[in-house]
This record gives sequence, structure tokens and C-alpha cells, in this order.
Amino acid sequence: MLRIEHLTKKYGDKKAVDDLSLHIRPGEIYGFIGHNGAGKTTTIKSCCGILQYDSGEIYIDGVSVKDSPIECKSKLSYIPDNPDLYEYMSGIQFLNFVADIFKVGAEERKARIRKYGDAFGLTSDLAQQINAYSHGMKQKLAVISALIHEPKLIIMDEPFVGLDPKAAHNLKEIMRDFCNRGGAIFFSTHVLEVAEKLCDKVAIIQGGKLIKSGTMDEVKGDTSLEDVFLELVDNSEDSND
Amino acid sequence: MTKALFKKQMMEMFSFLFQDKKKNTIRKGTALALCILLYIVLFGLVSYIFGLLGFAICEPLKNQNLEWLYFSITGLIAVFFGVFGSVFNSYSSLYQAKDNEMLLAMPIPPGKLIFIRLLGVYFMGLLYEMIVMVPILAIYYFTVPLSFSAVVFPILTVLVLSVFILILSTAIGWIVALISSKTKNKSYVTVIISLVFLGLYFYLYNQASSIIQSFLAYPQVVGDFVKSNLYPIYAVGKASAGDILSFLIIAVFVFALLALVYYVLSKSFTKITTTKKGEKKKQYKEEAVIKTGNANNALFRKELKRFTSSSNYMLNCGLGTVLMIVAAVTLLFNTGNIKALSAVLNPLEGFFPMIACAAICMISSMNDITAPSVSLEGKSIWLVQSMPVTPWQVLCAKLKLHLVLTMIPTLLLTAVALFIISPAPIFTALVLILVSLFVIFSAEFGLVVNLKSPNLNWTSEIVPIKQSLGVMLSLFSGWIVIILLGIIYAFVYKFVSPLVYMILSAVLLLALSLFLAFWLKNKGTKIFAKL
Repeated sequence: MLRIEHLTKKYGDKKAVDDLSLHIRPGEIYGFIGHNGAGKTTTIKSCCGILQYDSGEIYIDGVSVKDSPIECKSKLSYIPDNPDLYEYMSGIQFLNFVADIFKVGAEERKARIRKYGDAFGLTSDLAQQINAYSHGMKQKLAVISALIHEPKLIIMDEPFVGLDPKAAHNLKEIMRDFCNRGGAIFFSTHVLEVAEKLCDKVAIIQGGKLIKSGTMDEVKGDTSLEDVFLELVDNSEDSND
Repeated sequence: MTKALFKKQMMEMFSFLFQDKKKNTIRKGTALALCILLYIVLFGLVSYIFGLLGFAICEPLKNQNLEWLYFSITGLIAVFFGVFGSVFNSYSSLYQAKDNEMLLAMPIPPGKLIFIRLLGVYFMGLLYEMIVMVPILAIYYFTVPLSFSAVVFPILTVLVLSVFILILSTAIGWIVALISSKTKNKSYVTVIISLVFLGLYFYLYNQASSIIQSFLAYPQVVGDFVKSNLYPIYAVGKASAGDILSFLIIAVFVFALLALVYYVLSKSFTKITTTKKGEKKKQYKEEAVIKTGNANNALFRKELKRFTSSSNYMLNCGLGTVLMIVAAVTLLFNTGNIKALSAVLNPLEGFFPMIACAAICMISSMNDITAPSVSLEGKSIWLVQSMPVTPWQVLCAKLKLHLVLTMIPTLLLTAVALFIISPAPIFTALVLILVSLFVIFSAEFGLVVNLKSPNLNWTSEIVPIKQSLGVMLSLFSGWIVIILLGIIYAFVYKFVSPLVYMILSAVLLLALSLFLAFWLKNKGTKIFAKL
């Protein structure tokens, strides 16, 4: 569903992402872990066609992001770490806007807004202006807008930040359900416990380079993901020194 | 603390000069000098108009020992101009700044915060006042014999008046904030209040013009009238002319008012800035609110919503729409005068339609809706960048908003003007083509300028809307194009008929519009994608 091949992205002389390759298949929840500034957001934004990369290739459902960005974008949903939405719209106006862009029919959008609005307890607030929403409500709205057009791939940057425990629980269930229906999810997180319980596969990135990836069992073995992550990052820093 | 706050406020205020938002670098050396020079030229052009007024009245008034009346009249104009320039700034920078809550959470007394914010409003008002008063003072110094009081008192009075401008701007901004914090549809409330203020401004401006004409004929009579009936204006004039008592009276009055305004603001600032809404929670009704449309319409509706949700955007970039409708109605009520003028000013067939066309284009160029439209995407630009729409679709939605909101009133005004002056069919067609092409050119030019110097990192939307070089350029470019065409015509009118000149102008505007459209579609879309 998402294939990243030898992705390299530079900011000036600095390589933010260095020769990164990953493959996320349909049905997989793929966690992306790394410390602040490791290159997670740059990778994610490159996959969404927001950032233009220097070399390598990214394919969404077999289509190149570089050659056919619009076709790729119509297959995916992106939720950034800080969802700056259109504050001058109401929640429902925003959802209608997204549904119009993705050509979602009236009946489908009605059903999905009801389903996901209720799941996240946001339905009663949909008529309010987004500028009156809390951070968590904006995050919920961003998640609903990502699900409204039934994408094949969802790419999320820190999706659990700002969500209350119930909403976080619901999101995890929705993520699993989405992948069980053939979708794929690629998301970054700092919450390693969540990644450990939720993800089928995980990749760890340090200084723009992939230092470990595979199934959860392959990566963590008998220890915890936290221990493995800390050990790998420490080793990587030592070798860089 | 005060120093740090002051530094932050000044950095924010003058970021349009020192920061190159496109390259995210600090502007230095030649680039900075050119940028400052450009602003000086732009402001200098406006100052020149006030300078002409000064030349017309200074000498005659001095000859009749009415120097004070010179300052009464020009001081009044400076106050109106200063308030006009800073009032739109005061509401947004005082009450709508994005960092208000962050700063209120810091150990900063609200009084100190409001003081720093007021300094920003003060400098904006002072800038506009100086545009009027610098040429007025210069002409005065060249006209009267120089002495200590003749030099110092006008300057001191100008400074006191700048504080009075701050008071008026802040008081109006405070009233707008108070009403807005308790009402729905804040942007419309703000626009209506501001339009009422603008109407009042233009009414007084009109009156001021007739007063000036009257006192040029009967300065002594006007002087006696001001002295007897308009004491504050008289006192401003006398203070500028060196009367110590008058100066003390206006200084005490202004600073007492400032203390009162400061006290009221300090007490209400936190409450106003943290009161989110006065309306009840809206009920969500599924059947009523789920609507479908296509992507292009969705993008257009998004732009329209952005425009109508912001009083700053509507007032600063869409005022031409209102003015053109007002102008159309005014023309209808002055049909006789326009026809008479047409008969006098039509030595060559088509000359008057050409002048009317230029005037309509000038009014329509007051709309610069596209000029801040890219910057206003701000941090939410990721949405359109991650959606399956091309940058060209996004840019087209921005152009369409400008065209819809400008083209309709422009054509309405044009239709009224053509109905009154009834030119030959060929001139009717040419005027319609020219104004349409001009509106298209203005829309494209604003977008090009914004793409060349976008600013997505702002704390107050007033920065991209009002305090950016691109908006300034876009606003004046329309006038510059019309003036240039006028100057060229002045050189060639003996050889080129109005008909030919209008055809050539239409060809030029068409070529420019096509070139800008080509640039937007090719380079502009690439720039937008990389933002």
C-alpha cells in the first residue's frame, strides 16, 4: 500500500531523511518511532505529497507520489501532529468541505459523519465554530475528516496527542477495524506502549536513518519496545560519536 | 520585562520590513534599503497630496495673521487620517492577537501588556499622522519667519495630537471588541460599525473640502466661526502657533483622556480577550447541514467563508465592493451633473468614456482580495496541500473570489456610468472590456505578489492583510497602471484618438493578464506546492 524506496530529503546541507526504505502492506498498522527531530514528520509529509524530496521514490497503492500526486492524495488521509484546521468554519462545514474535495456522496457522508461523530462524542458540537474547539476536539475532527472518504491508507503524525482516554480507545478500535477491512495505517508516536500493543510492524528512525524495522516480535524480541528503542538509539548515538 | 515585550511588539510590527518571509531570512543591506525606499515612495506620494493643500492655504493664511487656522484645519485632517489608518489595526492587534492568552498566562500585569500593545497602535497612528503633517510642517517652516516657538510648538502639538489619535482609535476598537465579545457574526458587526465610521469620515472629509474652499475665499470669517464655535479645533491651532495656554489646555485634556482610556482598558482587557462567545451553543441538525458540491465549488466556498469571517479582510481588501455600489447610487442621483460634465469634457469623441473608465478602474483597484489570500492560509496550508486538488485549483478559487466580489459591482457601476453618458456603441463595448480586463489583471497581480512574498507565520491576521509589502504593492499597482496610461496619453493625444488609445490599452491589459495567468499556472503553482 505504501512503499518508500531510498527516500532522501535534505534541508540545506543537512539530511533530514537519509536513504530510508519501508514497505507497508494492506491490513497493517505500521508504527514509526524516533526521538524529536529524527526525521519522522519529514518522512510522513513526503509520503503525503506535501514535501518534495531530493531522491528516492514513494508509491501509494503502486502509484508514484512524484509522478501522480493527486491520484495518490485521493487514496490517502493525513492527520498532522498539530491539526491547524480552518478556524473560520464550523465542524460540519469543515467535514462537508473535505467530503466535497474527496467527492463523497450525500448519503455516505451523512452515515459516516454520524458513525464517527458519535464514536468520538463530537456530533453535538459539529455546528460550533472550530475556533471554539479545544485541542482534543480539533484532533477528533481531523480524525473524522480523515475517515470520511474511506481512504486506502491513513498517515498520522502523533494521532493520540490531545485525545481523552475514551477517544484514544475508540481511535485504536477504529484503526484496527480499518486495517481489518484492507486499509493500511502508517503513524508516528512517542507513546511506545501504544505502539507495542497496536502495531503489527514498527520502524525506528534515528538521525534520518532507519536503524531497525520489522514485525513487533522481530524488533522487540522478549523485551519491551521501550528497552529496545532506548538501546538502539544509545548505540546509534555512540557509533555516530 | 517591559523591554522584552516592547522588543517583541516592534519585531512583530516591523517584520514586514526586516523579514523576507519567502526565504525565511532577515532582510539586510541593499534589500532592506530598497524595501524602505519603496515604502518612502509610496507614503511620499500620499504626502504630496497633503503638501499641495499646504501650499494652497499656508501663504494666504499667514498674510492675514491666521497661522493658527492653518494648523486647525490640517490638524483636523491629520487626526481623521491617523484614526482612519490605525482604527482597523487597534481591534485586531489589541484583542485578536494570537499570543494574548500565552502572554496573559505569564507573570505580566495586563496593564503592562496593554501598554505595549497600545504602543503598536500609537506608532501606526503616528505614521499616518506624519504622512499629513510632515509636508504641512515643512511648508509652514518655509513660509513663516523661524523662531523657537514657531519651530517647537507645531511639533509638540503634533505629538499631542498623535496621542489623541491613539485615544480615538483605541476607544473605537474597544467598543467594537465589547460588542463583538457578546454577539454572533462578529465580523459583520465589525464591518457595519467600521462602515458607519467610514461613512462619517467621508462625510466630514467632504465637509472639510467645502470648508477649505470657503475659507480660501473668506478666511477671516471662517476663523471667527472656528474661534467662537469650535474651541478644541481653535485651541489646537493656537497651540501650534505658539500659544502656551492653549497648548497646556489641549495637553492636559488629551493626557487625562489617555489615563481614562488606559484605566478602562486595563480593567476590561483580560475579560474581553478571554470571552469567547456571547451566543448559545448551536444545535447540530444533520438534515439541514449536510450538503454536497464539487471540489472547485468547495474551494471557492472556503475562500468566501475565509473572507466573510474576517472583518479585517473584508474592510481592508473588499472595501471597493461597497464603494462601487455607493458610487453607482451616487451617480444615479447626479445624472444631470454628469451629463453636463460630459458635454464640457468631451472635446474628442470618446474622451469622457475613457476618463470614466479610468475612474472606475481606480475605484475597483481598492479591492485587493487576492493579495493576502495565500498568506492567510497560514498554518492550515497543509490541508489543501495534502488533498487531491492541484495548486492551480486552489489558486483559481482565490482568483474567483476576487473576480466575483469585484467584477459584479464594477460592471454595475460601469453600466450606470454608461447609461448616464450614453457613448457610441463602440465606446460602450470598449469601456466594458477595459474594466473587465483591469479587474482580471488586478486579481492576478495580487496573487502573483503574494506568491512572491508569502507569510504563513503570523500571530495576528492584520499582518498579512495590512502590514505586508505585497498588499501595499498590489493596492497601489492599479493606480500606478492607470496613472501611467494617463501620462502616456498626455504625450500622444495629438496623434492617437481615444478610440485607438482604448483599443491599445485593452490589448496591453489583455497581454499583461495572459502573461500573469501563464506565470500563475506554471511558476505560481510550483511556489504554492513548496510553501
